[in-house]
Amino acid sequence: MSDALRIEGLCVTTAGGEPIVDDVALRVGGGEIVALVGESGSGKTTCGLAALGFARDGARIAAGSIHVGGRELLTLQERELRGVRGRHVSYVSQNPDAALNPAMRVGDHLRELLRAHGQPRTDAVVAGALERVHLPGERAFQRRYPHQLSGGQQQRLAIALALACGPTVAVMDEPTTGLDVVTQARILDEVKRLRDESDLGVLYISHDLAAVSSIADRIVVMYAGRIVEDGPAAPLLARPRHPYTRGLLASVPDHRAPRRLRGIAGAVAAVGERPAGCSFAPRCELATDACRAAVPPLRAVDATRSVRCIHTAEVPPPPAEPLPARAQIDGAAMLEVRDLHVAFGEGVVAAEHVSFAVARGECLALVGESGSGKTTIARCVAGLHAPDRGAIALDGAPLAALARGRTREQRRRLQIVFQNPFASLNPRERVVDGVARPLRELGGSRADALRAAHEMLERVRLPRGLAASRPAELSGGELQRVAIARGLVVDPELLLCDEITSALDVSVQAAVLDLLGELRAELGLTLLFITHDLGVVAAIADRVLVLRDGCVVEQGGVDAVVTAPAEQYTRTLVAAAPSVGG
Amino acid sequence: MAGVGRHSLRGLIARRIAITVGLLWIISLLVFAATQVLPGDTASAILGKTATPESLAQLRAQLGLDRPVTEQYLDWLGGVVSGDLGRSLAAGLPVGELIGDRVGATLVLAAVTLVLLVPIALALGVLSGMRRDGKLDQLVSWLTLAGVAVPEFVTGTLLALLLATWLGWLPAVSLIPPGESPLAHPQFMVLPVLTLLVAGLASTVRLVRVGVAEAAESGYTEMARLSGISERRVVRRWVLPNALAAGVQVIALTAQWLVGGIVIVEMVFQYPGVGQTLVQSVQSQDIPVVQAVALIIAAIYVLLNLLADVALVLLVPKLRTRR
Amino acid sequence: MTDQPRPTTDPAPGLTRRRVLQGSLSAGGLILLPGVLAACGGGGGAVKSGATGSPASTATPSRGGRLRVGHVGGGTAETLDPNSGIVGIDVARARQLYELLFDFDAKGVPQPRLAVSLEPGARPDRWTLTLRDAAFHGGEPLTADDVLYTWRRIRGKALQSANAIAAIDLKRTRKASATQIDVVLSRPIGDLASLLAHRASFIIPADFDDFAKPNGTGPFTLVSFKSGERSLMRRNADYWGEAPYVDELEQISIPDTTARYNALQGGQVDAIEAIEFAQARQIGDAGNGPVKLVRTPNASALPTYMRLDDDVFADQRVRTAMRLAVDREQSVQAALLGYGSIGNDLFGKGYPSYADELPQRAYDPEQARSLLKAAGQEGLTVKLYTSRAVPGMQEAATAYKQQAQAAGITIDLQSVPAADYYSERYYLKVAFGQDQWSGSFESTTLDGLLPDSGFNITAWDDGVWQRRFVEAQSIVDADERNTVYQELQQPLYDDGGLIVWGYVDFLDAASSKVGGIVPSPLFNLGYYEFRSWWLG
Repeated sequence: MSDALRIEGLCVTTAGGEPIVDDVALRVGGGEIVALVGESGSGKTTCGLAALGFARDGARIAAGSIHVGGRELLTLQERELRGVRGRHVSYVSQNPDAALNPAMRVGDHLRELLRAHGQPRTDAVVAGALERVHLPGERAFQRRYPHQLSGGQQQRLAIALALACGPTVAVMDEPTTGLDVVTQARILDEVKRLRDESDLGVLYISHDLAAVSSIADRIVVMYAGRIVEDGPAAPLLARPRHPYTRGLLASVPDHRAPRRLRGIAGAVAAVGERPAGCSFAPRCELATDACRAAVPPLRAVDATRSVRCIHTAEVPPPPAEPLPARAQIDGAAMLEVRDLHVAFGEGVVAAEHVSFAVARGECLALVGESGSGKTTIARCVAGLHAPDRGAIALDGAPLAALARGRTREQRRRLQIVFQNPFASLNPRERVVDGVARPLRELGGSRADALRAAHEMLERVRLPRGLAASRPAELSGGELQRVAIARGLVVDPELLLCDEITSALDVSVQAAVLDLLGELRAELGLTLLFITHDLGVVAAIADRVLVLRDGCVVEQGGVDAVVTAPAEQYTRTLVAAAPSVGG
Repeated sequence: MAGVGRHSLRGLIARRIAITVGLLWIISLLVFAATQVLPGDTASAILGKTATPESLAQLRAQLGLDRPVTEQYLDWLGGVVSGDLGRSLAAGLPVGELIGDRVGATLVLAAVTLVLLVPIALALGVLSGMRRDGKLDQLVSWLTLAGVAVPEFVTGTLLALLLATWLGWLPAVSLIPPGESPLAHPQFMVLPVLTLLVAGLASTVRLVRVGVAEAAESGYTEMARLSGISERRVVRRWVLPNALAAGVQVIALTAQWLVGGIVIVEMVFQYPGVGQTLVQSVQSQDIPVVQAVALIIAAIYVLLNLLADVALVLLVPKLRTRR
Repeated sequence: MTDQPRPTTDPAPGLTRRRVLQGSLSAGGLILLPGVLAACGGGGGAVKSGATGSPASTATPSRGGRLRVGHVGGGTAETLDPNSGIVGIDVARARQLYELLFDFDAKGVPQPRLAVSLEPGARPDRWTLTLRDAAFHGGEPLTADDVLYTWRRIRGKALQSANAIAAIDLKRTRKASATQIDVVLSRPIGDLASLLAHRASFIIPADFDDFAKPNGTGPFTLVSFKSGERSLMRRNADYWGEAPYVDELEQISIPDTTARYNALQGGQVDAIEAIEFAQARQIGDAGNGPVKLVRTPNASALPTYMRLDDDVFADQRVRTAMRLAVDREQSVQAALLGYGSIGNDLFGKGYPSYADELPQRAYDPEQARSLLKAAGQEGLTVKLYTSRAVPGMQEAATAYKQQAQAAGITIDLQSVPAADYYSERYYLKVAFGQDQWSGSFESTTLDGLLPDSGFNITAWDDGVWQRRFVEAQSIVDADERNTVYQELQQPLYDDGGLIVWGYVDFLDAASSKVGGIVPSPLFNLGYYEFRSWWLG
């Protein structure tokens, strides 16, 4: 197998010389899919762009060599590089909506590319390129603009563009992030098929180990700009040899093999603040002084794997802690939603005949793809949107449609946490003040409110020193903790969580889910958990309600629904959801 | 998921036009109301402070000011719709006759300014936006900041001082012979146009530059570069079409600013346009002229908005086509 | 109130000026213009030669050329009707196309123009007017019918000069011959010539009504006119009198002061009216390169007035104290940048009827303080209404406020927007305010001190005094009349409500190649006598 892409000794630095990516070596063979995995800030996108000899403003490729099909890119002139980019090595970006020219028709995107590389650009060629990724090749479709395509179609078009000139290697940077699981599964199948059809090498960049587990031949794990582990997919997933890989694996929720999630403590150090020695040492349970003294070399542990850890022999197998038993509660419903109906404008139905109940102490998950109505239902429960029809009752007492019609006590008992914690906090206020605010609004004294806020921040394990920070100074995970503390500070009985982990890295998500689980036990909380991720459902919920187009498709105990879905739609969803074990 | 929605496009434009007509009607109400609340009514303005109650009543009856306000308004509106803008109190002539030439002169000044301003602004905006923080960009930034900071009448006075009084290259005052087109006397247009250009370029270039820079730094432009598209082609097919929306809006804004800026420039250079008439007739409380000029200016303003809206819809696929 | 529509430096005050003037039309009072000057030398007289700059280059008159004059203009209100014109430029145009029976010369003396003579009968309520042999532009000879038609039109339509000729009994006045009229007055008037010199009583041909095609006897004929923009005139080849030096006259409306000044500087016009103090200073009395200053001293008075019917100002001691609390020299410097002279609490300085032997009142805060103490008004606080309606007004008020502090007087300034100052809300409604007046003692008395005066700003109400004034009006002999007028000024000086702290100059400018400008206290630019101007 000849190398489609070979990167050696790659260093990308900031303009100031701080390394973003350090000493990276990568090989992608023809017809091989190599996954480059890491959390945000690991440098994986920088590596991916470097494979095209490209660095963004403020960064530069300082050293290394990049071979594409035997061609060294870093010695080429800009004009020669242009001939290689898109022709021999191509790029699919994370967000197709942003990567497609909003003022250019579908067909013109392809024609421009073909034109740039001096290739024939007849209608037949363009249609063929579209049909290859299962997009319609007809003229009407070619005349559409990107905004007239669905997210899945946009990403197919991006892939069609990447493959149009028959490249040696394609870099795909999180091509399925932001897509529904079903679409994601289809795109992943597509990538595999295309690889099989040609001799294309794929460098597949992702933060999601579960997603790559189904397609990657080999997995390269990056942390803080360096490769920490590299090896064939199956053995690497089965038995990670680096503490970080293991931590990542432990963080990934898996609906097929539900287990307790364990996050990785701490956060990735930013560029320029990376510690001497092993970058992962500050977060590593195995770390010793030797780890902090020098950067460990990337060493081969067997014929196919290499690991950058001096304690690799001590890395335990991935944990398989069972989940605490799911609550089986038959008590009286605490929250009852009956026959909810919401429509937006002409014919857009967000909820239809939706009825469900949440028992005290239970966690009910509402799961569905985007547009399924789950967020609308949550907003109705929170009193942020008035339903067209239906009743919501708390402990048997009917709730007013809008929050301002509800009693202060009712509002206290029912709190909501949103997906974007930054938006719900005042950027100029100390986070502890933000947490204290709901208490103050309920009439508490400033001193009492602040004391309670500090206690609650401790409860959500926010490092003590951060209470006085402004929201912008905190990481996403820390902010979400603050938002949860804000929801909990008034001692509610029901916490509504709307996609609270979907913007977080898996390791942080795991920690937040773990925290919520503990808080449930401690405080006897009832949770209504909105998510699109079946893995998350499996990790935290007792019961699940599957929504599609505003209707309840199926509901029941989590284990029953995940292992033996009754409805076709649920089966599709379960099958499409990524799983490391799958 | 229909393709290009011809039908809906027409509907969209029809809707904008309907809104514009409604706006114009509201403006006519506002203009009329504003001239009603000016201190003192027209009759007392004409008679001055020694007016007796009898002479006031007589004149009010003569001018129809004793009728209900709604009736007066409807009368006026009816006249406006049928092209009769009323009679000037000061000159006793039909307003249309009085200001016709002046509206033309103002439009010529605005048009000449725009014809020069738009290409210059676009060129400078694109050049500096494509190379944000480059040498040209910094120079343009400084110059435009200065241009934005200095009001038109200062710019005008300084230019007149430099080019007319000191160097003697140009006439300081635009004494265009009555009844003749300003275009027949280009030497009189140089200073007013130059003043408007200096003031107008500043903000226009800055805004165009922002639009261009946004497109130049976008994900799709990066993607084009990653696909090996040549830089020239990237600018032509990726950056410019997407900066166009911002450009159209900026130009509409500039044109609207021009409507106000021209009033000042006309005073400074004695340019025989409608802005000068407005100032003078406000001073002499020549209400029919004030109403007519205010309405014309407002209408130009609103129509520019309409044009920009329609141009935007036609230029930006996302607005033109349905999902 | 001011007697003439003086162009001001700011278009906004121009408006108020016009409005005030329109008001004076319907005022019941008779408007009289400056009386016959018996003997008035140059020194201290109404008129000093004001055109400065080197006279050498322009000393010798020369013929030809086009004279271009920049006026303040009146926008679309500008008219060619010579009897209706209310803005300065209207007067300036009418004076070229038409003529008056009598016209004030640069010293303020009425001189025969279309009249040859005006002889009183046994009593001064009958006069014989003899007309000159002159012709209108259309060739018709001037006759008594034209004069009678003009008077009837003015009176019938209550036009500009209606009040000035109100005393003419039109029923009994008749034509004696083609060129002679027997004038009958409703009461004796000694100075009829000044009445007939009123600025808008231009003689038009009988039955004339097409004012867009002017037909006068004046030294110029109209070529073109666009209101608010400009007019062009040509020399009247058949003019009866001394022909103008220039071939053509172009009058241009340039409302903006800076634009007007720039037009002169750039050589686009040869003369401009109404420049700012700062511009005058920039030119300087000696002239500045191609531009010279045209300065008319004592052009108009800037009074501060007190109403006698006000509780505080009713006390004569308070009024005198207020007059002593102003430092006139300092105010002239501070408010007028020196382009003016001090006043003595009376109007009409420089005219023959002016009582200039009265002692000049000076700044005496101590005396003011003790007068206030005697009146029980020590530490008086008063509110003075001021505005920017007239250049220098607000600055004068500010200076006064500081000067009066030395007398223990607190003056609170109430500044009113320029456009509102002469509105019915403020003007004649406040007890303590500022104003601008010009004209002789007798003309200002008619406007401000009689029972039917339209602008009795001080609420002067002395019946005996007012009767004596009306009697004095009927004296035919100018010296005799002026002596009584001067006596009548003593009570105003002692008990009146005016603080005339200063007089402001007319400030105009011209190209140094323009000759023949003779400044006049009646109007800017030497009362627009363009026929005597030449281009060097």
